[in-house]
Amino acid sequence: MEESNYWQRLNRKRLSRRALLSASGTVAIGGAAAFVVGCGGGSDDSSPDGSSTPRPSRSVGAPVSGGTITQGRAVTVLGVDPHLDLTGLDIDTLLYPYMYGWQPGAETAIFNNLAESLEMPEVTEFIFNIRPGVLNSPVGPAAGEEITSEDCKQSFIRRGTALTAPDKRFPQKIAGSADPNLLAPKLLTPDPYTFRFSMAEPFVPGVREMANPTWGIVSAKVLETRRGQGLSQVAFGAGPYMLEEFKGNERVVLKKNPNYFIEGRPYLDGITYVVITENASLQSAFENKQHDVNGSILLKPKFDEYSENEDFVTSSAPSLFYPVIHLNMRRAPFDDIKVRHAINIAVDRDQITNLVFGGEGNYNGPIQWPQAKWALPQDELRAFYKRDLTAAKQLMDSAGYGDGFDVSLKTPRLTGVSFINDIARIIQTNLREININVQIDEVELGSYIVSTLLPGNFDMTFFPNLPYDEPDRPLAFYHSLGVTGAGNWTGYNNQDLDDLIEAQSREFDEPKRQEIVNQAQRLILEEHGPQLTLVGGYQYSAHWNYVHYPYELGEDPSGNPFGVDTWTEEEA
Amino acid sequence: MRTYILRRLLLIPLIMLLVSFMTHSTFRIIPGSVAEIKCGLQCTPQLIADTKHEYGLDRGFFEQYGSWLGVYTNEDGKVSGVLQGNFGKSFLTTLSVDGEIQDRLPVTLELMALALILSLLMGIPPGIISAIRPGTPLDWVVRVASVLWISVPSFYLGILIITFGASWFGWSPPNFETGRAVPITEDPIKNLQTYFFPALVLSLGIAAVIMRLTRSSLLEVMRNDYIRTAWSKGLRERSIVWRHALKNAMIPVLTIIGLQVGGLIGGSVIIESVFALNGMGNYLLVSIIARDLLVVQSLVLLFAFVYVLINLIVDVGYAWLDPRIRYG
Repeated sequence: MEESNYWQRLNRKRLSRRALLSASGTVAIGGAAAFVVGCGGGSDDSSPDGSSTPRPSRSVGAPVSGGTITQGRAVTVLGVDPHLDLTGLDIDTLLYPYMYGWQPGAETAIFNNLAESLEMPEVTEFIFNIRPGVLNSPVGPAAGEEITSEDCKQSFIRRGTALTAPDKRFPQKIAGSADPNLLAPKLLTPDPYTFRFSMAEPFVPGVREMANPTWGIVSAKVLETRRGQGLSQVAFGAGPYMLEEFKGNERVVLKKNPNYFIEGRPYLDGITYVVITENASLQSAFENKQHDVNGSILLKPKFDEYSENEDFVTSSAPSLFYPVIHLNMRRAPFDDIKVRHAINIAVDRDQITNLVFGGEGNYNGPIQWPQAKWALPQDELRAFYKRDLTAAKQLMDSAGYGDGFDVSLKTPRLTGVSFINDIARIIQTNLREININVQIDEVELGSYIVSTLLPGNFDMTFFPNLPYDEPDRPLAFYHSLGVTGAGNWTGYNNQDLDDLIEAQSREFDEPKRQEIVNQAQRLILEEHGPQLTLVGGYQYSAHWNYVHYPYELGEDPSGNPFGVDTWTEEEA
Repeated sequence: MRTYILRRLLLIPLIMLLVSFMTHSTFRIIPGSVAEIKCGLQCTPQLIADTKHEYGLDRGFFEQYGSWLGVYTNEDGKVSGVLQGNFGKSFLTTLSVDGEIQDRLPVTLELMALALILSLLMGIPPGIISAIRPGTPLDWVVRVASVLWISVPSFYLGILIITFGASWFGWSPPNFETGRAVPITEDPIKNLQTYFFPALVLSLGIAAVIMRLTRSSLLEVMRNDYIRTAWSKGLRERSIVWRHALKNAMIPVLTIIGLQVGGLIGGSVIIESVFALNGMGNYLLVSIIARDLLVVQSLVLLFAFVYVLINLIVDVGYAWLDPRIRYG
């Protein structure tokens, strides 16, 4: 029943990819954006089912070229290097071309970008046919030059081997080793329009990975020229826009790229991102029309208010944001499954949904509920996590903790993000009912990452997982090697589960993979840890009604890459 | 006096050295470094070590501190640091700290200057009125207002102004639209629209302190014999207050003004964030969170310098206010 709700909502109010990306800002505030790894480079405002529904309340005219829009941003953009900087990923997708786009939900590649097609004679072999005539913008070291397979190769090498580049599992699967020197020989460029490589072993998440904003294709000449200086504060790409001004803490100004490979696109002459880190200030700027597109974090009441206002177009989408509580299974009492079980059924997930997510949300299993293809059915999760205080108390008794115990719940302190504390307080209240006295210990973000999370220095800790729209990543947190290959933070070790997680990452047959993923999730459920999965809500976005996104026309949104089909009725 | 000023000026480098040394030491003690922040969840011991090496963070305490100071070679083998006028580069953004300071310092200075002016305007005259009309309704209003201003946190007041300014009057600061404050030389009206409310918010707490101190100090002076003599000589109230009482009453007020500059610096960190002003306070906040050592060291040094300098000016101001005060 919950699944149908999800799709109904999705059709009523559209999922915007912009919204998806801005949602990462929710947790990115204060530097947590360094966690961001996901979010695809798909098509403009594509929905999970790929369909498109115009907003019924207002008729939309034909798109017009020209004009600029201003969008608010809650997160300082530390840089726009597509391979290294994680705080400007949404902007990177407008500055650089990508191999292909990604349609979330349907989870398919869209060949609307640099690659015209992909051939996979084997599941480990990738042959990209590069689109001719994709030119760099008219500025920079490679001004006006065509993007070729060599550029793809050099970009893959940089993304796959740069020291601070995120998640390198995929490039390591290509190289067949963690040795960065082994990657280059595996990437082949038989001609300027063919780019191919074979992976040492199958790795399904790699397909999704290549559409991520961290896999932008940068001209080899640009990479060579900027060696040592980096691409954080400048950008020379072949995307729909060019970087006109970069002041990551103030504003980022993009200008239309006249060389863009799609004729007549982008519609807009430019986009200006204005950075305001205080949410209330960001909201007031939007309401006063200083920003055309809202950049603030909207909560349900505000979203409802905007939705009732004809001046605004609103949209909501299931949030891939995924809060969990880590339990340290290396330490007592969380090494006892009865205690974990008791906690799991003592937490009132509906209360969290009502109080924190405005009554809209669903239960998360090991994979968050909006990943409809991979998450366990809601009925199963709701039955499994059904609150039962009597049973919880019995479990505590039989574990020898009938009188309860004191425990510290460490949470990261993120400025302007209240829901972490809200959820922690609810858990504190819930667990008091089974005599567990939770002490909430807010830790400054830097210390939290270094001294709490990574070394596993906690009994319980709140972890604001970021939006992942591929099942491998959430499951990797349970693998004994963790997401980094250096071990998980909770000391959890289960060989059967490791095998299942590895098996799903190798299985290209989707139904078979789904089966393995479900098996892995059910195994995790039975363990009642190491993550206490909670609930997920919706994310809300809004813009003024003179700004339009392609879905409002009811056309197939999968046509063009992100950002090129946005238009405005207002002249600059 | 000249000797005193010279001695104080000569002490400044030593104070700066101590401040920077303490900042560097603190960063060594607190957990985390920019390397871990950069790596985020990808952190492995090896990656952290490699990143630290890349940034030169694996060098010894004195090597790192010395190279920032400019008395030791940096990772490029050059001697170039604060003493040579080079504050280094941000680890996080790779931007030069000097450039960032040049961009941001005018923002914070204008905010602080305006806040100081407002706090003096809102502190001293009501304090005087309150002192010369004690027990009157006016005195009560001033005292209640001062308690209110001290009690309400400035960030909360800032958010109220932003929120209700938008929903009631459709107003928000002009810099919200462009992302930057218009310089006063370019458009004084827009500049004032941008800075007035943050400065007002920042000044209220300080104004309240100044107001209360002016009141109590003036009340005390007004009870002195020489004031009674002035009254008995038939001098007018205005003359007694302005020519005889106020100057003496201002000495403790001046001390407080000097100390409150520290509060202004601290307050600017929050207020700049609320009003989206990209000044030094905002920069410091982001850099502390990101453990951007060179930036934090440089900014703390600069703030300390401003603080020390203002307090020197205050000390010199005593002598001007009270000729009896002589520095040897």
